[in-house]
Amino acid sequence: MEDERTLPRDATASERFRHYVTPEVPVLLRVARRLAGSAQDAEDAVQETLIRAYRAIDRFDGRHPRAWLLTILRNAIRNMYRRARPRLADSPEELLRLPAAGPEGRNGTEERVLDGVIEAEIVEALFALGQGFREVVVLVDVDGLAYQEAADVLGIPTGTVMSRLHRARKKMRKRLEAAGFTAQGIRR
Amino acid sequence: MGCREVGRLLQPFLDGEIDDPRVVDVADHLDACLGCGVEADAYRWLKAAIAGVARADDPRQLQRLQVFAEALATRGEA
Repeated sequence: MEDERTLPRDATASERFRHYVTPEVPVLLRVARRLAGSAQDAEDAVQETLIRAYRAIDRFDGRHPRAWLLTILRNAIRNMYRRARPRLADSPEELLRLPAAGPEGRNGTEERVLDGVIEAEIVEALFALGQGFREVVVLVDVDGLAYQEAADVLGIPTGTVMSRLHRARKKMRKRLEAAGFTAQGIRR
Repeated sequence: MGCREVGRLLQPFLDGEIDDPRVVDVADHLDACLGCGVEADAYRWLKAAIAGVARADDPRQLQRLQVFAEALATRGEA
């Protein structure tokens, strides 16, 4: 994923930082929330990543900014917990969307109810997978990382990301179809 | 491109992980072949449904970090 937007050769560190780093803050926070033990740790880890990125921005060659930042983030979290490999925070509550509050959340249209049913089934299907499979699906499909980026975050080969992802989706599809969901997401 | 190869490339295709000439070949095949098209729809739906369960980002947390990033960038200009 080459960055197609070009920066002038003489761009300042601040310009480079705004160009390469600032747009990735939402992804960094999402991934940090997966890897860190708490919301506060995640925020601290992203702050640390931003500081390190700022210090290193003059040496960054401009290729694959997200991969570069995810590697910094992974190291920041590793230092924080002093262990070999961060584990993804792993519980249905971590994964589930916060329930809609307020009057619009209680309108209970048929569509919303159905959405809720599908959501619950999807989360159940995700948690029926082994953790190694689930974390790949979450990073790629929920957080939107590329295969190589997910591989970097987890410290596993890209081929492993691909094979786990494909096997996981097959399993999930089988389970969801058995529960009565089709490609349209409606019970048959 | 035949069904077998499309089957092998389907997941990376849906994830935007294959290169241009093959993207066109796979897309053409999916348009023309009912079986592979249905298969692709099933995984497209699954991928979208999984993306839909994402826990909402905490907007305050995100905003704090964006302010922090901007403060770093601004400090460099001082």
